[in-house]
Amino acid sequence: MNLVNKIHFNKKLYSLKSVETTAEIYQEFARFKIVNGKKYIDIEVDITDNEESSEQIIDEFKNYALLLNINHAGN
Amino acid sequence: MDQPNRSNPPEVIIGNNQITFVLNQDIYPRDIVLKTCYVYIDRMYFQLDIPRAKIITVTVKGKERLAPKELEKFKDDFLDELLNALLRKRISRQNQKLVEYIVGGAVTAALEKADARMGDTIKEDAVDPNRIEREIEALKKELEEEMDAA
Repeated sequence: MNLVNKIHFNKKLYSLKSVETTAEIYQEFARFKIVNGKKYIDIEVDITDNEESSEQIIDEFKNYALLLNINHAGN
Repeated sequence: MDQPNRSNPPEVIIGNNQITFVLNQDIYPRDIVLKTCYVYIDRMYFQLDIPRAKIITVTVKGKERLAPKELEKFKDDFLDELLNALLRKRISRQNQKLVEYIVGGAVTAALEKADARMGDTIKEDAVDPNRIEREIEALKKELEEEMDAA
């Protein structure tokens, strides 16, 4: 069963580049559709897995994207 | 009479294995919030948002399921770390000039020492300008002696 989840990243905090890089890394676990909106980067995550592990993949995805932005901000 | 502006303490919403901090960016700037998240990123899952001007929300979830007491402790630790990061930033800003003077002084002293060493080497050569000629003569003599012996 495929589970589709949505993530919204505020563009003031997450760069499109960092989200794309994260999606590239996590593409072996899920399919990502990235929409670059005006205020938010919207991501549709399509995971062929059970609910529990899909939640973990999404959480890991969010953390990785944040980490890239922290590093880019020179922290 | 006008009341002075009072900032509210950070709003914290504790839920099911999840905490949301609603922080005022005038008090906790974005870089400070990011630095603080970085401290806990190996233990927790984070998502940040700026829902409206000057407000930043940090939603934190435990990688492992956390008991309410552990969440409460994390909340206190996170707020402490925010203050810690703020203080570190302030101190480093205050000491910036001092650090620049010390590093600048050390670099200048090292360069001067290196220049002085170079000067000494050049001086040594300059004291005896005929030294190279004498060395050549000595080598020539040595070679002639070797040829005579052969």
